[in-house]
Amino acid sequence: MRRMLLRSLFPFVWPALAVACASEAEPTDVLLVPSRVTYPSVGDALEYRCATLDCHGKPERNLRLYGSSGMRLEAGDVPGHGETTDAEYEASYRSVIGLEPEVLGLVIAEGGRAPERLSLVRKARGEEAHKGGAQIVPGDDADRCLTSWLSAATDEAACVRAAENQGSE
Amino acid sequence: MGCTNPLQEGAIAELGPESPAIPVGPLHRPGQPCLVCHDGAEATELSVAGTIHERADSTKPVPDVLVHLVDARGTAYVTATNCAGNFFVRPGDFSPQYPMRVAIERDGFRQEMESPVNGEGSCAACHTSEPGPRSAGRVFLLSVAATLEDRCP
Repeated sequence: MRRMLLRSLFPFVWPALAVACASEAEPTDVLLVPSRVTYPSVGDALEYRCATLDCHGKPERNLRLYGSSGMRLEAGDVPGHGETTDAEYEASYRSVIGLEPEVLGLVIAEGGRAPERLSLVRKARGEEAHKGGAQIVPGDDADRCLTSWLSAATDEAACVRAAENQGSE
Repeated sequence: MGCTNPLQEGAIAELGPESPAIPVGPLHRPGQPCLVCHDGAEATELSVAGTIHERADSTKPVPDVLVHLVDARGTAYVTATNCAGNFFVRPGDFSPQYPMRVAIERDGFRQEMESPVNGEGSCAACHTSEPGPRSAGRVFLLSVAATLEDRCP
């Protein structure tokens, strides 16, 4: 009789055990982000334009950027000394992609189309209220560097030129 | 009843009192962020101002340093430091359009600021006395062993 009861419960017990042991479900709607690998080129192009200590190199800014000439990440590092560290690129990257993640994901999903949907681009171009005014001009090297990064085809040459000509155009 | 700016009031309070040995004027408060007060309401408006020290680790001010400012329009302006090492620019003389490049020189010694100034007129807002992750330290002229003629009383 007891064996019969167990046998009759088996169809109900087994699925319950299976559910308990299943791995956690992963979200399927992951937001897309631009390349972390090529971000240092973009970060270098924007450093003097955006990441100085009197602009986004301030901890109180929404867009917080780090760099060798601006705000440093490690307590022992000083602006104007050494190179931008990978941890600083990483922190700046997180700051950039964390501003408007859903809009950024949309721009990335559409191959970088209409990047002006991002405050980052509008403010950098001076098309939206921005204390620092226009720091890039549509079509210039810095703009091509940033927008090509958003279209997953970073124009490294434009980024290098933009980094070399910062603040001297 | 007038409006007040509690942020500015707090920032001014943080600067501390005037030195009793130095009257309020061009020689006062060297090394402090001038534009915290010099906004045209609290005190005479200035567009750019700061203090030049002899060395990074020295509080000794350097007079007669030429301060070269070039703004985004290519407009150049030159001013010089006084005996407190202070320099200041009035908006009527020069109101920079940022970014602005800065260089300082005296007696053949020259320093050029690596990054541009993007909007802050007070040197000491970023160049606080102690270097750290958020400050390059004092603005200084000499990075090599040298002695400058002392021209102030």
